[in-house]
Amino acid sequence: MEMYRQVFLLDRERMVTAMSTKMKRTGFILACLIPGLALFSLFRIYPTLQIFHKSFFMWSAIGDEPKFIGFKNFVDMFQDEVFLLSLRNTGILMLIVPVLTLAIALINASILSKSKLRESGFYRTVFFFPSILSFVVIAILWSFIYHPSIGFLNASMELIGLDEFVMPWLGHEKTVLWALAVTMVWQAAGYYMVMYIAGIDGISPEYYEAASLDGASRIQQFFSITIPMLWEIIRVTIIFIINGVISISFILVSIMTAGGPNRHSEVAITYLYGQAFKNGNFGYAMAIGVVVFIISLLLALLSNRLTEREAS
Amino acid sequence: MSGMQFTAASSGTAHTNTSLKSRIGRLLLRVILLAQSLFVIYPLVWNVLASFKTNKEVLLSPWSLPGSLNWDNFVRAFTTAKMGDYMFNSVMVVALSMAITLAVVVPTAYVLARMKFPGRKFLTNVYMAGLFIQGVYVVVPIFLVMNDLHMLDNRFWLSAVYAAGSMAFSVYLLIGFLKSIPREYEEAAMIDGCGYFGTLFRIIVPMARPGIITVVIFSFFDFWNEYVLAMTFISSEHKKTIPVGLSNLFEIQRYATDWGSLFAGLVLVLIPTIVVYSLLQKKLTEGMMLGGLKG
Amino acid sequence: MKRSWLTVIAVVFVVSSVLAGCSGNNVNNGGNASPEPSGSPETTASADPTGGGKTFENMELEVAVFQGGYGREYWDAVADSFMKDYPGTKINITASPQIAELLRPKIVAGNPPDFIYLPQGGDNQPIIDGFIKDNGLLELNDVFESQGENGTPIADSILPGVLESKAMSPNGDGKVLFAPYNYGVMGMWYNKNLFDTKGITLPKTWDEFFALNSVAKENGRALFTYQGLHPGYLEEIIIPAIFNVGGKEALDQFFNYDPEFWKSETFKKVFGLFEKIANEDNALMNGTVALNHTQSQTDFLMGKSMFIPNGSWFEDEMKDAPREDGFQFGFLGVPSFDAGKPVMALTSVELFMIPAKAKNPELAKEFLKYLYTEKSVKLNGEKAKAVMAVKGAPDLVKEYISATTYEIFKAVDGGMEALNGAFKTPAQGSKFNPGDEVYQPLSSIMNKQMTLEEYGDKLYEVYTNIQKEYQ
Repeated sequence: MEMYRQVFLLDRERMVTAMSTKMKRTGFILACLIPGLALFSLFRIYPTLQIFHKSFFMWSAIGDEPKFIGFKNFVDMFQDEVFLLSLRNTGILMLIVPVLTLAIALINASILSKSKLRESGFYRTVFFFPSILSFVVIAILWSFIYHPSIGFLNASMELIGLDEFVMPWLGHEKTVLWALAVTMVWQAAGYYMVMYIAGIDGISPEYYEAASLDGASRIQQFFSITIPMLWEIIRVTIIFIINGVISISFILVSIMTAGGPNRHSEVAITYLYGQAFKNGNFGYAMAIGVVVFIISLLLALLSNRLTEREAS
Repeated sequence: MSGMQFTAASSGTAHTNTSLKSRIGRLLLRVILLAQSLFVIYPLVWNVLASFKTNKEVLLSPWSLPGSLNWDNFVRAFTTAKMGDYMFNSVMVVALSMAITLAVVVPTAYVLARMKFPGRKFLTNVYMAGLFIQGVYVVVPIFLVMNDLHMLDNRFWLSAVYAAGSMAFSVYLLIGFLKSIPREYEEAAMIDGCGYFGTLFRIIVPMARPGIITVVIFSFFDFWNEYVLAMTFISSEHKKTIPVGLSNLFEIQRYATDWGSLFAGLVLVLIPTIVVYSLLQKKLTEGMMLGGLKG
Repeated sequence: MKRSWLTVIAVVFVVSSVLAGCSGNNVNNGGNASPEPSGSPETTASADPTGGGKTFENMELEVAVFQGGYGREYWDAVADSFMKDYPGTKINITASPQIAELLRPKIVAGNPPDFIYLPQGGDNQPIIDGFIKDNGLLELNDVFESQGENGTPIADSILPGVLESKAMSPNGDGKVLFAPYNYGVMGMWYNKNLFDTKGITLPKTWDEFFALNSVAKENGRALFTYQGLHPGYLEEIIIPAIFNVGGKEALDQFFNYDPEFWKSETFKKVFGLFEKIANEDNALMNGTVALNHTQSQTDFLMGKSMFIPNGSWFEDEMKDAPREDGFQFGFLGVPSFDAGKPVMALTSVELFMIPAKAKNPELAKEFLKYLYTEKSVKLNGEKAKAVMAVKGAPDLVKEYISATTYEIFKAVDGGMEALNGAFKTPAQGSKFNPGDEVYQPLSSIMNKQMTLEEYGDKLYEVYTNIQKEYQ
């Protein structure tokens, strides 16, 4: 009996300590998670739910109560010519910019890491530099580069005798998107280049040596080794760039072109912003947000799916 | 891969055979790379030159040099354009956002990477989904939330929004990093009676330093350059950050045609960026590799 | 200078009076035109009849002003002067070129400033429209009925027709919701020195205008440029031209969204001008479409174009900008279509307003009255180089503004015809911003990417849709 009690007591003690460690553990987990979760919920999760919810309302900001209108915002959107144009412009940028950026970044990365030039550190530093500049600074600088009369671009074309191609790059419907795209590529190519260099440095040199023994040229090596080995990184970066295009295009367009000429450089996000904060159509703006969000998500999934197949 | 063992033996001959060809190839590569470098650097050089030009000189050929150094431009950028105020605000907002980010991200990432508890997977996925939700999509509802809670035009809350915005990416990055730290260290610390918090701060944080530095670097540039949210949430002139202040300056140029001080303002913003970049360059590219590869 | 896309009052006047340097005898200044500057802004408080002695429950006033071509010096100066005349009051001025963005959150939060100055149009128009839609403004009739410093109601000192205009009393119910500030006169400008030395005659009709193209070419410049990125500036030509061809009815059609306007002869004639400018060799300055307003205006000053539309703030706005040798500002106005009709110009008035939710409406009204005192009008002339929409204002500020500007204002002071010059506020929740809809496509016409017919068809549809939204 005595013995039994003794054992029982011991067990209880152990249980108590076990319980208190468990509680401590739970307390720790909660203490770690709650502040972050609170912040994230307030400024990310709740607003995200809001754009989905409020996209079904007509809601002009100053004063009035949101009025439920079902899918009307979405129906209107696809009859709204300016929105469709802005969507088209966004789509074009999402296509041109990732392709050009990736191509240039990959080529430069493989040149710099494979050719072992003495000054490759210099190029790396220089090429990377634009990606740390403020988008606002970039936008202001490039609006002067494209300036029709005092701009660097037209002046250098005149210098090398291409006078006939001199034009107001930001002022023409046919060139304005390209001009913006070039600015974005200028900004981003170095950043992705550095990522790819890291990736290429991680590829075992033996592959390249073996390939050159087999008589593969540099270019063949690029396609048969570098690209396949970097494939996973490339997949991730494609999604990064698509996301990047959305946010940088907002800044470039609002500073460099104000959406002009005749809305040919309006992008979905600038239109969204204008509808919300200029026209006071908060509900409509949120509906646009939902559509753009879904489209970019689909695009990311699609590119993921496509690249997956090619990889295997 | 079958050729591997021959590599060492044959590489010598391969080199001599191609040496002339590779020299021409290298020259060509250098030309291409230099042309690109010029393309990257020229706008910045032009900007520095223009910051010393008078208004009339700015309008002349983009190749011309300034007739004399107009330091006036810089003085005006500081006085009339208030670049000093903007810079102070930017530094403050960046520091605050960084502090908040680290305070919430490190514990969150640690718990998600290391502890087993119900809902962990779900929570991790919530943060991962956050990677796709950029500030620009939700700027309108965040604005409305902040309005309801009287958080607008407040630098602290702007910093909090920044921190929330960088959480998804930072948590994702740190989880990857923390998972690579061997468990033995924590177990040893726990046995030594460190407790959970002690283990986190005394053992994990120092070990995770490279990952944390990566988070700091990525967030620094995000916060320092952020424009849309700052423009929307901050309304008082004296609370504006540099990007908003600059675009404001660009707007004012449209009214007052003082290009010299605009370019001087741009240079003033470039200088700290260049300094930070040159100091951090190595860490930065290392960090990027982490960010890219672990991801 | 950010200028208004939507204009308040169209003014018709005979250009010869501008050129002759109109005498000024036709304006009765009501005895308040004292030629010598009476008292510096440092005049003591007791000297001011409206000031001193008054106390207010709340002595603090939040003032938000747009910082455009007129700068902010006037506001700092007039606030100082007011605080001296009303001891114990405290005025806080917030000024910004993007004032609309600063105001929006405060208005939404129900915490607007006590007093606001905004020009019409651009980013500011939605704020103004929002205030109108939501009844968010204090009625100002009592301010204008109250006595000014010379013993007559303040209303009597305002330019005739302004307070009754749709811009100031937007609901047409006699309630004055906005108070007028500066007014600007807009039209085409030229280099007077060039015209004088080369003996070029100013065009009175559009035919004469286009005939000058060859002369422009001989002088190494294009005929015309405008503020490319902001095609809204072209309204300075469009509105008087519509009035010229179709009269008041056509303007009403245009501003009140009658789709038939875009099928009318008026439309074809007026907007055909731009198609002609786009198509004729040397008519449009190269690169115009891509330039913002200071860029295109600088090119004009540098002698790259013969004409440019702009407002009376032009000289002040460009005071630091480089220019060709001997450049002198000359104001033409807008040519007419028929030889018989006068050259025209457009004016716009900028707005003061007091939100209904202002915390200190009493002091705000007192401040508003103060702005119409002679002292303030002069201060405005001195610091902002601007002319308030007050009778005799051009003479009060004559010493501060250039001779050209003075003559423009005097000419307008002479014969004005007040017209409805603002787009009707679109229905609540409307997706359309009428100014953008109408003026943005002009870039495409200038780029020859859109024909006049396509433009007319597009706008017909837009107007039909805007109309639908009202239902």
